[in-house]
Amino acid sequence: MRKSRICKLLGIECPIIQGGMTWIANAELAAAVSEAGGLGTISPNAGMRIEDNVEVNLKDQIRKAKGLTSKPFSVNIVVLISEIAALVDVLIDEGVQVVTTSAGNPRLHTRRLKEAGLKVLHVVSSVRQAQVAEDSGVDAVIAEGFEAGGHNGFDELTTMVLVPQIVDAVKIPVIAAGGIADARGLVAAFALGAEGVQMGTRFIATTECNAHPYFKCRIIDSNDDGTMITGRALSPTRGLKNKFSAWVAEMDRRGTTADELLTLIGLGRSRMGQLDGLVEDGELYCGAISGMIRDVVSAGDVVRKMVKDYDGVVAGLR
Amino acid sequence: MKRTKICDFLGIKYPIIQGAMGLIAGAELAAAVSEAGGLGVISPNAGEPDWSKVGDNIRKQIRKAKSLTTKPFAVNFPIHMIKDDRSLIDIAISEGVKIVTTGAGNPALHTPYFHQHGVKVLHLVATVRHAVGAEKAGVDIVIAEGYESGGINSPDELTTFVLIPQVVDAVKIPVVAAGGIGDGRGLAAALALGAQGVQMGTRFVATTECLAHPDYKKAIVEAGDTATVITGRGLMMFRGLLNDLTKELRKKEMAGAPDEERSVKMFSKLSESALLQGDVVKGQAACGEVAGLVHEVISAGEVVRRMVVDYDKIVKGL
Repeated sequence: MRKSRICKLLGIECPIIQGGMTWIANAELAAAVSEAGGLGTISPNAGMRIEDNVEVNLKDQIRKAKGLTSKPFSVNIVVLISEIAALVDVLIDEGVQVVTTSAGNPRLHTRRLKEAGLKVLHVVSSVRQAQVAEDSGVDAVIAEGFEAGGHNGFDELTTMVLVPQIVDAVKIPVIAAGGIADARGLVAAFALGAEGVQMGTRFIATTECNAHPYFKCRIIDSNDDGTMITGRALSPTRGLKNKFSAWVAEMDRRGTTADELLTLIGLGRSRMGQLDGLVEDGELYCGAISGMIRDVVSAGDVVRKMVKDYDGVVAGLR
Repeated sequence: MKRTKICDFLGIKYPIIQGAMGLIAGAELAAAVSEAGGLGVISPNAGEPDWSKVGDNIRKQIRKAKSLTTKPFAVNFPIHMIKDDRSLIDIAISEGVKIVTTGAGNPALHTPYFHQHGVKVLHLVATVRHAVGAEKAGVDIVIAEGYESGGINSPDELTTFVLIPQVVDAVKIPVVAAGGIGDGRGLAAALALGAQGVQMGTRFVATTECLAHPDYKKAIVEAGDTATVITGRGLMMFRGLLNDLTKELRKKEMAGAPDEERSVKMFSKLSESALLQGDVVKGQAACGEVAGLVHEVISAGEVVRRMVVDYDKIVKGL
């Protein structure tokens, strides 16, 4: 397949990035994706308990990944959280080469990260956010559509409409995210003008991911209508339909305020679902593409199959 | 660009279908699209807000289209508006219509009747189960429409990017992609996802031949990426321009207002005032998320020609 600016920027062979899913983007997964030629991403919270220290956990994860691969990998940091400055310190101290920032203002930490030599990818969900990210000096934007799992933009722009509009609005490379799980999605994203893709849900259903097996099973079993958005008043979130999502959806219908929602949902619901495997009472972040995922395979095979199938999809367009 | 299965089947040059936008998809627009090599589609109530007069209107529109082009075009039948009454269908058949698009209702109701009269049926779906049902009902082609599309929308909220490949995997008949497509990039992406063609509504509203009021076209041209909103969730979901009307409906929805306070009927005075009289502030102005990619009013033929030229360039670059 064609090399894009993303490959050169990040020092990778194919522009396939694994999303840094909170709790479940662990070192083994990230290393497997990077070893296969893509870019793996670690979540600072991967596998940890609520009461554990996130800085210590991140340090452990980075060192573990370095023990498994000599190739570049990224760490996803959520800009809004209170520990952000300390996490930035860890990334710089540990010599991480790439960082993915999301959910917050890219102006806050980009300069410091760049001065330390890191490449910065920032997640956006509208044209305006992409322009702000470019002005802040990020190296590439990840344009994430409404079909993506987990926390979602308020504007509900889908990958199909978001990617070309951002490509037209910025000069830096654009990575498409949301709704991609195979080579068809990869080629489609490139057709829209993206220079790479990021995938979350597809990489949960892999042998290396530390997500609970029950959660992986739910992804495999789900159909096209298996996910839904809840919490539109607080922070729109896409997850698999279960007892928990039905409960939040009912609160949404009653017009529950953001504060009420936050109190009722509580912290750690997503950890409970995704790591403890309480697949009815917990929150299962999952993208709308889950219906297309039918097996748990190795993360390396996900990358290799997409690269292998790419040329066939393109040939079909000629 | 390459010929797909639907080109031969429908007798058209390019797999580009113009959506039948209620009230505004008239004979001039349909004929212009067909003349350019795509498939134009007439809406039964084009320019005629009074549904009781729609029979005469269909006849008039079909005859006008035939005087403007000798190429195939289609007529759209929203099934929930006609129910089991075949009087409008019989008019179209007696006027020699050979292709219809149907939607918003059970495809088993009229498909056999159309086929008995040698009419090809394209049916609109928004989920895998509806596509499978439509195939069983005997339709020739499904049009899979994503959440980004304008006008009436499905409660399942599946986006074009995730819907197309899943429908393609589930049925043997050809799939046409709709929702979020406005240029050659969207066309190439849709075909990469496995579609055999595209249907576009919003892009064709902003054309010289469309019956839409100039102020409505102008609103689409000026719209940015976040200019549209969904209203009527849980009732009749509808995507339209964000304006005084939809802001108010949205506010009521978020506050959990009862259904009767936030429901808007199909083809109401509110649609007529926006689409035909140009009141895009207080009226209900159907519009897809792709409006942000529509920057000028051009001829419908030019829309088709530009897409075809761009398609070849894009595919060469993949």
